[in-house]
Amino acid sequence: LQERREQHVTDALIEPTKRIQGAAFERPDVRRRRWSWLAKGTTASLGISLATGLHLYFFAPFNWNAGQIVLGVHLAAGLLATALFVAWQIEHMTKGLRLARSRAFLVVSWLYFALYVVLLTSGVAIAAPFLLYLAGFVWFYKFETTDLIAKLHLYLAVTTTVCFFAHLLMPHWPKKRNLP
Amino acid sequence: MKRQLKQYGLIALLSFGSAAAVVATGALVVQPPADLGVNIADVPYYKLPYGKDEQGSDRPFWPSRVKTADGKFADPKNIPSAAACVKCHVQEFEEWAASLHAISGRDAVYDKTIDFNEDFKKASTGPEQVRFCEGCHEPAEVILGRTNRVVSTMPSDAETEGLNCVICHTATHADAEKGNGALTISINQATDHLHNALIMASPRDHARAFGAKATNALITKSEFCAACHVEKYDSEVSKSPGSIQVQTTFSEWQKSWYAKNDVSCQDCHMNPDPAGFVEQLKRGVVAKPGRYVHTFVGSNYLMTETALGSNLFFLRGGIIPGMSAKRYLEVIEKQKAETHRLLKSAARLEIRSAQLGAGKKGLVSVAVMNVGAGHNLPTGVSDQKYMWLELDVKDAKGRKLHHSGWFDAKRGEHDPKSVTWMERFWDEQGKQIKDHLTFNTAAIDLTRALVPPRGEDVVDYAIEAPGDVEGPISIQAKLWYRVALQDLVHNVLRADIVVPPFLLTEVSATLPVGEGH
Repeated sequence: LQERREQHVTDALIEPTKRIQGAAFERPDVRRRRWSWLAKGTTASLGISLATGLHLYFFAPFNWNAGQIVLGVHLAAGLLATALFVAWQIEHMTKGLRLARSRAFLVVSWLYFALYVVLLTSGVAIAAPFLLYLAGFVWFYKFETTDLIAKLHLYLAVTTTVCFFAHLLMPHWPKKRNLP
Repeated sequence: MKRQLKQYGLIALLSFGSAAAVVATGALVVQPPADLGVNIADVPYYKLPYGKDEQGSDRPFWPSRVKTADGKFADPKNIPSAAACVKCHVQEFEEWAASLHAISGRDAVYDKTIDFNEDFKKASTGPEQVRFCEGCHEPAEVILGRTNRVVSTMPSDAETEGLNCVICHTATHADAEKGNGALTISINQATDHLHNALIMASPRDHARAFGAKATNALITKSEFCAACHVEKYDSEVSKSPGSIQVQTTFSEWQKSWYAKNDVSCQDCHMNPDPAGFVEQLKRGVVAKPGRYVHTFVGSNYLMTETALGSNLFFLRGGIIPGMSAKRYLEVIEKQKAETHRLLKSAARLEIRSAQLGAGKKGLVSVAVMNVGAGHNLPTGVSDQKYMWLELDVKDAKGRKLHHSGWFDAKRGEHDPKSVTWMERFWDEQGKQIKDHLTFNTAAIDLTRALVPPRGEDVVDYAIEAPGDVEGPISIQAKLWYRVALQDLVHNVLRADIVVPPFLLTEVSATLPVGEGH
């Protein structure tokens, strides 16, 4: 019932704005499914990245034989999450921004988005020497630089996880009584 | 519950939880890296002729003071060769390859000298006594347990690489006072557990193996170098009844202006421009270099003398694995230029006074000044590395009034009456040892006090000018340096190579007859 009510609110919002043109309304199920698949894939790969990343930072030094496999999974999941995140955001931002009415929600969401961009960029920066090595080029940062980026990556991962749940918890759209 | 939270929050928790569960299970199931050290008892026929230490523990590397952190031998499979490090650290490898550290074990002069000393005590402790030398020159061989009469462990690529990457980058402690290789090496932790590609993304394990906090703190200090650049002989390694100082490079530095101004060994010898740095110090500017390199530029000009052609490769013990002959020559050529520049920056000569009158006994005073070295001139094993002064005084007709310090380039000998700065090794019968037969050395003395850092030695020459001497009189003084006596080349190396001397500095002056200046 809650879902249906929210869907109703969403539709009610979209209708008066007239911003989303015919095609979206003609094939709403197709759009929702694609959106949903990217969002779920991004969420799952980020969840795996967080678990493997925390293990790498705190537990891998005790057993690098296992840590090596975890590192491989973390890199793969992280790079996949980055690709999915970019693809998903293109859709999510274009549609979601038009729908959002709460200023507080927008502020938190933009902050959340910025943190995610830095998190994923730092992840790609860490993975860059690895990818270059696989491509046959040897290049790497000073150890201190990698260490600094890794710390930043860790702190951002924890912060964005908090923001992730805050984002999901916050009311996305205006309450029903405020609707026109 | 909100739809978004219910849907995506659940996915997030499920993916995180399942990944965490899989990782935790994997970490428990996959065995951690095994202990890599080899127990002494597992090396067959390994001899311990020097007994136990004061605490009753075995001293497997004695009489060298080198030791492993866990007291065990290294496993030959696990000592990384410099040729493995070059895959990622090309610049550092090429700098090091040209240095003496890279050939400290394979250099033909050293290699033959070791055999010479070992043979001298073959009947008793010769092969084990050689650990004394190998602890600094080829530490990997010692910690593999291969310095033994019966060699029962497998060889490693690293053992011929002298002081290679793994030795310095796993050292965790150095004893600057005791010397004789007093380094503690955490060699059995020096194994990467990650594939090279993964190290690129997560270098923490690599840093654990080769950049431990204790190591990083140690290798920047002069005390680290002192572990091998302080050398003492005693009855266990020589014929000397008590302890005698042979190499005092560290203590020379410790007492100097350089130590007081925090100028370390590394600041000069690991400087990208060592001579430039020395010139900067002469101007009183003490500023640490922005980058340290692995060239370890020093005084051995012979081992970079590319004019020797194929003899150079013979002397250097072949080509370093992991490097082409062409590239090897290129880096040696660069090292040669840096070595020459550094040597030229070390000393200065001044003619302090000169009084020569017709038919009279005159005096020429030459000051030999150590203006650039942070240790004595010469330093190190000075029974072979020595310095002498050549003085040539002529009148206007070109008639020689005095000449001392000549060098015979065919026989490789210098004027025995010249003013020389060197250590002399003596055997029990009072005969001078000129071929570095360490194990037979009973006493050591100096021909003349070595020139201390920022110090000088004024040499007076009494010269008698004939009655018909014509002015102006020309005076030329040259300070020569040589890295080995010809006796060593003939007796030990058995090669027909003359060790050329190196001109450190020279000065000349002219003066009228009968005047003092």
